[in-house]
Amino acid sequence: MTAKWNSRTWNLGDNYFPNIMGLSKEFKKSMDKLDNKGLIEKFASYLADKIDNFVKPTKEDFPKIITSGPGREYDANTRDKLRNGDTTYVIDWSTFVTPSTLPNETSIMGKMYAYSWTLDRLADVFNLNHKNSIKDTIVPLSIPLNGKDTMINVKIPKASKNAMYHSPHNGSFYNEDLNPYMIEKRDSIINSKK
Amino acid sequence: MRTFILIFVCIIFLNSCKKDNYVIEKKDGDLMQKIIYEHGEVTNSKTYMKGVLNTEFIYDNKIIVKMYLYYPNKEVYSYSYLIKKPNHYTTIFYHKNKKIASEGEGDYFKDKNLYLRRGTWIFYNNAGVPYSIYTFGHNEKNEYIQDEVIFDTVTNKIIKDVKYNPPVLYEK
Repeated sequence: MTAKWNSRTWNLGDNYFPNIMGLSKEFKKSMDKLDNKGLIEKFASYLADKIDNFVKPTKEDFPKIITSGPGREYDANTRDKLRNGDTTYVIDWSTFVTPSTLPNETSIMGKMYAYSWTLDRLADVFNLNHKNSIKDTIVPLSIPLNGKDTMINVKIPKASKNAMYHSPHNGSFYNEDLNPYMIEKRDSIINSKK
Repeated sequence: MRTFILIFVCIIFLNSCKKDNYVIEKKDGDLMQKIIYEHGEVTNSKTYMKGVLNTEFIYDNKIIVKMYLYYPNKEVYSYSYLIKKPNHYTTIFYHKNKKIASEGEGDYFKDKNLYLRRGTWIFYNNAGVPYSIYTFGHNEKNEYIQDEVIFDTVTNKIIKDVKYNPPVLYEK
């Protein structure tokens, strides 16, 4: 009675008696690991805690770029993206962008230095407001440069070293060959909520 | 002489029938297992924990086609059935009030003792109202979340609908 399971075919083999007891134990354990409802609740709160501010479409947190001028308004790009429920936090451009770091002279090296210094400060401010930042984020900003509004894309480095994003695509990834009944049911439920 | 031969054949036949259809019981600590054989092949196995039914497997041609887990009160906790060989199952979990708690599909890897979900999983509250839908994928090691939809079960509206690209690793 030493037959082994073929784990990929579920074929019990000729002498399967001793394996059934082991399978019963293991299957019970593996299903218990799913923890059913609790698992999803944990996951939902986990995501909400970790990444909601970056990916959920219903509510976003925007930097509100202000200057020392009388307007103290959103920059145009941010204003266009704001929707109900969105929140903002203030970055006072004039507090860390000084004439010495954004030279009026348009030398390339001068601009590069100014941008790098500015982006570092932006990253500090951004990460200060997003302590759970878990991935690089691109924020398009309109900044006053040489007397004009200039669009730049600011790459905000992740604040945490424990990134939760991993690529699962190295090797086999099972997300196809699915039960069409479940897909239909999913679509039906979602459509009924709209 | 003819009668003697007929009786002898009948005895042989009955003996063979007796060997083909039988039940074996085995104990392993608190576990007790009852395995039913028909025509020499296992068709059903039930495992009891301290005398209470715990799991039940249904076999077809030596392949497990249905799996049940039970609550201690003998109500079904989960039911899985094979939808594609070798190890692709649809699974339904039940609340103690017998309403569906969640349903979806996944692959069970016996050698790793892992049941990894893939595709759509729908989760229901005690009243049977869906409160979230997730799409899973896996790489035989970990589960990943591809999208997440959460419903407000009071207003019956979607309060969160997010697709993750790349998929998010689910870490317990």
